[in-house]
Amino acid sequence: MDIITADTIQQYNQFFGVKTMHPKIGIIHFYRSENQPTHKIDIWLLCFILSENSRNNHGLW
Amino acid sequence: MDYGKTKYDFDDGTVICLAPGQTIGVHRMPDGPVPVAIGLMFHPDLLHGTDLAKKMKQFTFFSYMSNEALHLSSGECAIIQNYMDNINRELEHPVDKFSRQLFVSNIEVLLNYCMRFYERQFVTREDLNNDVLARFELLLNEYWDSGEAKIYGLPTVKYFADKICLSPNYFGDLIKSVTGKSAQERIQSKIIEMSKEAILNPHLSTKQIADMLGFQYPQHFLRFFKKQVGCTPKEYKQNY
Repeated sequence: MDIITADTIQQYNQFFGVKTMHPKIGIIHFYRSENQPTHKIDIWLLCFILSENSRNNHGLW
Repeated sequence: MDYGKTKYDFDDGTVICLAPGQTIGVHRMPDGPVPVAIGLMFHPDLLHGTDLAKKMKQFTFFSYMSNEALHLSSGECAIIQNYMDNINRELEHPVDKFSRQLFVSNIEVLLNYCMRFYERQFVTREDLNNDVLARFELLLNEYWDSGEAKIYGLPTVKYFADKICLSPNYFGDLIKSVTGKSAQERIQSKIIEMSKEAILNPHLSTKQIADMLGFQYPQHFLRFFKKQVGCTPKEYKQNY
């Protein structure tokens, strides 16, 4: 699995198929996003994820 | 909720915070449930020049590991959700001169609530935390008893965090929450305890004591002791 690098909001939004509303901040509703393949992303942003039914792993793989 | 053999206190929601440079992986299981999760992403530039930028260092949970995530009750989850909704509403509003400040204010409140909930999590996991504390004390003793200090020098907080399989920040925050003192302070007080004992041993020179404790040079030991105790080892010995 390739690791994608996302260092802008646009890149992350694009990956999830979400419209960019602001260049410095964004919110992604994972259950709404259409494009959600299995993936790994190197995030160069501050990221805060609230999950009710977590399927996300992060850190060491 | 279980994580390995660990029981978690709440499982209504989970918060994971990632700092720039970390890797996130998302697995989609075939025919599996769609994850109900909301991600707030913001560029560090958004905070430049704001008070929040100066405070970001105190939000140490951005460098916690995934098994140190914040587990929320339904009430706590609703509070976090509310601020995420505020930010989302603001995103849908046309950008104006108030936008940035409103984003930053909501992020700040959100992070302050996370600080509070992490503090609650440290309290509700008392048994688990006491176990970490006991292991820390054991490792502290072992480090000097085994002679590692002589070879590798003074230990760091990261050294003990790694041994206990926690991130340095989570480990430090946990120790501070349980004991009221930082892990670094505990290491220093341990060195002082051993120093005082060694100073009173007439067969040990200052160089030998410094070497045994893990100081590279005796001068470093003398400066450390004076700073911590308020007098030199010689004065301490005379006044004992």
